[in-house]
Amino acid sequence: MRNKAALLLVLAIACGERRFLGEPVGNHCADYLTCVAWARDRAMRTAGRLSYDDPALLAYVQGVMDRLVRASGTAIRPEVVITEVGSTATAVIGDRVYMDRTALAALDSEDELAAILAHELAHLDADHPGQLDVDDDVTWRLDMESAADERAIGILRAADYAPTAMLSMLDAIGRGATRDDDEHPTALQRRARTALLIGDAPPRALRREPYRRRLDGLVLGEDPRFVMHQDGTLFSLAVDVALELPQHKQEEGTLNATLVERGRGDDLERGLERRRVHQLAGKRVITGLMPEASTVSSRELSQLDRVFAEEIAHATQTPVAGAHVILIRGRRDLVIQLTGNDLDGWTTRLLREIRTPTAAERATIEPYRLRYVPARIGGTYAEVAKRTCASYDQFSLLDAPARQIARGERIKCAIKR
Amino acid sequence: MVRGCLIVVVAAACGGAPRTRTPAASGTCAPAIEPAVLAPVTGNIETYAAHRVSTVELTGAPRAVHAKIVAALEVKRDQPLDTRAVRRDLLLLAKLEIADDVTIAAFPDGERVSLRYQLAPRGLLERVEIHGLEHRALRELRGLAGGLDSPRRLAHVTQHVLDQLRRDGYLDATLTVARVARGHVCATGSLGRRYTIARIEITGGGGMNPAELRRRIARRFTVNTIGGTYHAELLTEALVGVRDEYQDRGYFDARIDEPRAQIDRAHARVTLRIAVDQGTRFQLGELTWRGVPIAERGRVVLGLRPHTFYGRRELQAAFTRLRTWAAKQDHAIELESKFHVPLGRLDLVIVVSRIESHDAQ
Repeated sequence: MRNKAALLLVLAIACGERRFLGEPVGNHCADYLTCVAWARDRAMRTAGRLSYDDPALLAYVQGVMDRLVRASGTAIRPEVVITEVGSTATAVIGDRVYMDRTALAALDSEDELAAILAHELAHLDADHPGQLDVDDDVTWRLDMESAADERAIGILRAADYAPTAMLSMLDAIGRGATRDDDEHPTALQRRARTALLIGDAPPRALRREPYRRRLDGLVLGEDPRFVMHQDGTLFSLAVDVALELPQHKQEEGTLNATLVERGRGDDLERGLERRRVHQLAGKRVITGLMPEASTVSSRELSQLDRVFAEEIAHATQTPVAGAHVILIRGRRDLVIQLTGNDLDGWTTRLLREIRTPTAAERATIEPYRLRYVPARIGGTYAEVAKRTCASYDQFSLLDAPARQIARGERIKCAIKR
Repeated sequence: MVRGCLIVVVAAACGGAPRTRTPAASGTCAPAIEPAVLAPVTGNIETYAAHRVSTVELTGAPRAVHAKIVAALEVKRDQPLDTRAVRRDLLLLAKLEIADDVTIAAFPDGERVSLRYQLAPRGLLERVEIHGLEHRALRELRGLAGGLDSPRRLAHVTQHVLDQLRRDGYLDATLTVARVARGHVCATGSLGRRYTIARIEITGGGGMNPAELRRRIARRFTVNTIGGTYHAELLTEALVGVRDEYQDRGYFDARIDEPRAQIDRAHARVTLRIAVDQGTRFQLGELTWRGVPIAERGRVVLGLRPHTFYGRRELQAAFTRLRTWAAKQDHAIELESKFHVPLGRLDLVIVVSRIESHDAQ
């Protein structure tokens, strides 16, 4: 099987058809920068950074982006992806804007959403992301962030959004930060430069209601339906499986479970060695061994920078070489990675334990959701939310703690069900 | 139509020919990029040292952030004037980059001193025009339009764009940015020919076949590969990865010299020469255990067999596994290694000691 794969690869190279992560390179790599942007985008699409599953919300956010695009006159047409909880509030790759749902929850108006998107659109239009991974020049990076902030104000104006939303967006995104990050100018610098461009015109009211209507019900925090370990059982409601974890001595190995998008599951399945297909609890389950570094997949990654390859490996949740993998296929896929000793025995024991979760188990695994709730008292958001929302401490950054709230005013709360 | 006319006028004013970074002698374009005008002026502040400060004013700052900036200043009301703190404040204000100039004025106020920080607000860079060359990298320069007119940023981005062009093989590219009017800059230059790699000569390094080595050096299908462009930093970085790969195959003293690039300007070609000294492939020789006897299970956890070839990563993983296991048995593991270069043998001594617990007495 491996020989056949190797032969196919040789033939592909001989025919001049270069591929990256399964897709022909074609004209994408005629020049260096275009190739960087294409490869990054391809990698992230394959990686399938988990997207947030809410088509109506996505259409709304994309609509705001499209309005900004029309107003800015740019030739690019960015596609927005709302992502699950990640390490950054937003990210830009190729002609895509990745918008973390945590960032959406922190905002409170369509104008603020437009401010974030306009900033990312400015990055894309000036082609900053294609160059970010090859440049260690910190001053340049900070300059590009400032340029994106400043250009965004013009885009907001052209699209008839309130430019002052840029300031409130910066406040919302920076809420709870104890120090400035290394990727952007300081908070004071960003605010000062933004404010200078906004000028002293009287502030316009921000469009809050349409935004709140769309955000109501947004999942907050980690979504326990993806992967959850409870009383010795591993649950993934996203794949509709439960798995009793048999006793396994810690020193003998570790188990790591991750949910990935189907595209990534396909990619992993193709790359596994000693691959076996099982039908368990109504699911297609694949077991196999993560190959060593000499595989086709690794070679593809080695076409890119090492740093970039590591980033992809991280984003793609690539199991370590030599790990045993149990891949449970569904609308999304659960990847269980086993490392250590006696992996054959451990895999066999785990396969016996795969089942469908019960209705009672399903009912207990619910995420927190954003709800707009009338305040029971008046006072600061911190005081009001503590009385109104049971979960305030866990989600204290949904609004500014010192903001004054009137009794009966609707405030953000994190609520289950 | 009007736009077309404007471009013609500006192009004529800037001249179509490529320029160096030196300002044009004709005087049709303003000097390329003015120096930053952010030298803080402290004026007569020294004469008021140690006087108590009666008021601290700030002029020229946008209203929306005025209070936040004042709060960030080190010099405060009712405190003795510290001239070093004033300098730090001036630097802070300069670093905001919202002013073309930052000054301070001091006024006597009875026994006290009144301070006024003054900002000359920076204008908008409204137009960036580019003539004589077209490349994706120039989008970065165009992207400055609509932002603050920072001479420092403009200079930095211009250099960055030029670096990007050279990374894309345009080794003779030129780019000059001149100021046409307030808030309006004009860039001119040329790409020149694109240099491509004609040959990659690899000597030594039989532990990896040359085709695989070339594949590992190539980046993004277009860089450091035959027919592609030459990128020195990426090549150096890739070669570090290649050396690691040799070590992962047991060639622990593998070495790769700095690559040499021969540039043929007449034909716009580059030849790369890479010399690999893979050294000896080491086999695990004797594996000796010392110190506190350890359960047989420890040997199983380590999982290494003498007289076998192991890579660096395999050895690291084995010892990490052993250390993790041993720590749970209250044992610590130290490792002594001895390379026998002529024999290609690596002897390892594993020293096991007990971790003493320090309970409260």
